[in-house]
Amino acid sequence: MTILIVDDDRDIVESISIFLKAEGYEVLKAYNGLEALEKLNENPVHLMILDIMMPQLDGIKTLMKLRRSRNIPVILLSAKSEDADKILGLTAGADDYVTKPFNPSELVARVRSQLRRYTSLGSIEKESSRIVSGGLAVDTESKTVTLDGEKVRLTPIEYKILELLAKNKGRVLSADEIYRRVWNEESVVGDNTIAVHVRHIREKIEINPKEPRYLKVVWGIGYKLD
Amino acid sequence: MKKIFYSKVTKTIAWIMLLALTLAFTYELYSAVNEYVSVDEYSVYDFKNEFESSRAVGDLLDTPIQLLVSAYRELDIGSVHIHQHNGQILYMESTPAPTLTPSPVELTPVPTIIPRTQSVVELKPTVEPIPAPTTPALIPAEAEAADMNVYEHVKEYFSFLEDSEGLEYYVRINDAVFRNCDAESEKDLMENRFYYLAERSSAGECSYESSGYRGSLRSLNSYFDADEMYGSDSIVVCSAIKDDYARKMEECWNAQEAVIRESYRTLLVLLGGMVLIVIYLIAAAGKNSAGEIKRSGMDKLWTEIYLALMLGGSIGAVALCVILIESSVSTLYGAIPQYISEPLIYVTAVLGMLITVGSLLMLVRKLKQGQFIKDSVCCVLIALAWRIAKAVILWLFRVLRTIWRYFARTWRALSTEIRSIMAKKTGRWLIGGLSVFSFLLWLCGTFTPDAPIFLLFAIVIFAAAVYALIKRAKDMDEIRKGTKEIKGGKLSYKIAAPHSADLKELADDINHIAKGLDESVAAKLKAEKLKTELITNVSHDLKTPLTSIISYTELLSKVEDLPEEASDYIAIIASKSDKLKRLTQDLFDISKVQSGNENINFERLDAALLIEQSLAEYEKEINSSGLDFVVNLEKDVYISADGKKMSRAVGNLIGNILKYSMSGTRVFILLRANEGKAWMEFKNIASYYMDFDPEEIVGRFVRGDESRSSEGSGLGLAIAKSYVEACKGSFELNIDGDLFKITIGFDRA
Repeated sequence: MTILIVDDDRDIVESISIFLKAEGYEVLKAYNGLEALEKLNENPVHLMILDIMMPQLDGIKTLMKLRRSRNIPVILLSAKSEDADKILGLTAGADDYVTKPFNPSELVARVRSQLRRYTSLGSIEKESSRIVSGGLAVDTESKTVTLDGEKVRLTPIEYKILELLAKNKGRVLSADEIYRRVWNEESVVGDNTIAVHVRHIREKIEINPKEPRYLKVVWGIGYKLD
Repeated sequence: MKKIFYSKVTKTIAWIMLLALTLAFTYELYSAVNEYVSVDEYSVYDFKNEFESSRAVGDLLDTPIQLLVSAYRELDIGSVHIHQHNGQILYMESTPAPTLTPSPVELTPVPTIIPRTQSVVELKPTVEPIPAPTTPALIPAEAEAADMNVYEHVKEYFSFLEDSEGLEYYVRINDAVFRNCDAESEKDLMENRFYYLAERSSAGECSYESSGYRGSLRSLNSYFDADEMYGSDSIVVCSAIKDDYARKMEECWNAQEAVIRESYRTLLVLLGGMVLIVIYLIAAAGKNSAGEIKRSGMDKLWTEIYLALMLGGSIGAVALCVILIESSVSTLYGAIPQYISEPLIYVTAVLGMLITVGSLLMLVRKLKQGQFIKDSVCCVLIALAWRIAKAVILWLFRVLRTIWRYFARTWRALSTEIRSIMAKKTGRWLIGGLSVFSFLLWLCGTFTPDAPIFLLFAIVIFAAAVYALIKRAKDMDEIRKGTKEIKGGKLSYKIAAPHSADLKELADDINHIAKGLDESVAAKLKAEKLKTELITNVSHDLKTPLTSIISYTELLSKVEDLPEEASDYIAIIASKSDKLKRLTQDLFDISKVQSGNENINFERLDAALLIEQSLAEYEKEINSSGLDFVVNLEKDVYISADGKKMSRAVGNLIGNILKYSMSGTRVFILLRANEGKAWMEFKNIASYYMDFDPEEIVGRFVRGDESRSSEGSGLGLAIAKSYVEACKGSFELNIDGDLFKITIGFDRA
């Protein structure tokens, strides 16, 4: 498995490569966009970690050029932490977005997740009982949840909440509504049961629960699964 | 059931039944009228009549006196000729042979008592001579020729009654007696149940007597009374109906009455049926078999058309039917033959019912659809007229306002100008001089022979002055407009150069000020932009090296065989770099929000849920903190704020509480609301002595307790306050002894 790391800061490239090599990945390095495209043409690459602010050819442009021919997972790496920047990056074709400064272990986890999805989950069985969102799959028949192909252990209540959100993918459900549909009774004021359960689910399915990819908190309104 | 009620089939059946009933009704009515109207036309309409007051009896009793009056009248018309020509022969010649056939009206009494089915009496209009023994003997010898004619005439008229079965009469004129029975005198006839006696003395006084009969005997009384045509004749007329004949007539009459009453009952029943069907049709109208109200093409016609159709259809059909029935049963000459009128009546009735009920139902549909008024062309026209009137009034108002404004502005400019001129010494001199000059000119013009020239001169000078004044006024106006524009924020506006030098200076000055302002605003904007860029760049430049520090520290921590001291140092570096990371982000955030560069995305938030969600994020820390959290949130309190920003603010406050609360104490988190406001309260007992100013603590990098500075950036409260205020909320901090209390206020959404 070969990973291409692109950043104009050599120290960062070096540190990331050490972490990835420790995980058993092959690593290629590039220090700007043009170099990255050259490396891509010369070698088989399975994943790319790409910085945005770079000389010569910035990350977004590199990504757009890459996407014309290649479908490999790309994780953007940037000091820009604004929502607008993230949206721009993901729209340009990135699979994930990690802001600097990052926790190296988190980056490694994200790399693993993307690769697993890219390789082993290339073809997803199209079963009606499976609700899929990125690497997350909820099987309503066998009542199991898998993340990047690996089973996630959830309590029955947690599973019910996740299933409800998965069935209403993209829709914001209020805490009251979730309570009513999971417990079949009216919610009690001042009871943050739902909030706590959702927090627990996030800890189980998200790499970084504070920056969830799947189960999102819509503050003051409810929750949704993207 | 509902389906059947509204189904087309049921409606069609109802329609057919309605039309059939209409047909039956018309037929019954027509038959009844046709059968009996000629019998006793008043009885048909008035059932309070009894046989005793029926026309049958009245007409029969009436006959002799009617005949007598007719005979006399004919003679009276002839007698005019006698007077004129003074001769009886002339009378005989001039008078056409007396109409031997009495008018049908006069003869009706006889057939009236004949029900159509049985012929009891047959009329024999044969003239038979009055029996010899009576007439000659009764006519006095001295009777004049004219009188002879009276007798002749009367005799002739009465000859029709000779064979009359039921009627007996006794007439005596002077001494001549006419009768068709054995009565010796009128007294004999007066023993019958029905009789009528009229007497006229030779002096012209009249008296009447009748028995049994209760109706009115037409108006013959007055004929008999008033007329002078009887001269000095004394007349006695008595008529009577034979008792057995009267009985027969009564039976017959009663039978007719019964038949008519029966007819009326039938008609009532039919009418009731029709009303019921119409009520059903009204109830079912306008809905299809599913009970839904549907609008079809027919419904789009104007309401008025259906109203007209309904009224016209009903009134027209009834009127036509009445006319047709009347003319059909009428025995008058020129009546429409029955074979034409009868089918016409039925067609009219059915068509009338169809149109009337049909349009009624269309109106009902409109009512049910709520379109009754809307479809009305009158309403549409009124609405249209109202709209046009409103537009015209508005337009007029606008025109007037424009004119008024124009005058007002001109006047304002002029008056300002005059005032400003008057304010200057030279101006005052000028105006004064001009006035004196004009006055002198006027004087000269009045008292010298060269008046026109002076006057012209004066006018020219005055016009020039006014022109100059208006020109200045215009300049002033332009300057005033320009100042207003600049004040309104259009700093690039340039006032057009005025004509007069002093105003030009003023305009230039204003333009200059505007230009300066424009430049300074632009500079400020540029500085603001630079500041934002600086924040972004500094943040980036801080983050990149930090990334390396964090990564390599982690790598270091994984190296085995390090001396224990080195591991401790690495742990310190790791914790400090982590703190630096948070600090950078916090610094970036607060700089952004405080410089107003943060986008606030307002949403309608459930305040209780927001707090619950934030609490959940800190669930582990709360559980392990040893603090007792008392959470009391009011339900259904909504505020308008940015969810992400508010979660950060609330999260910071909770984090703050966790950090600085005395162990074992209670923490109160409350949400309460009144009509327009929502309040979030965060109360805790500080674990240290708070000797700072509430104003100070929310400042940047200020921490209450220096000794615990290893956690947090010191920006938590500042960020919370900034975010709350950016979301248009209020943020209040109170310190009361050891009680640390933060109140966030929002308008309810």
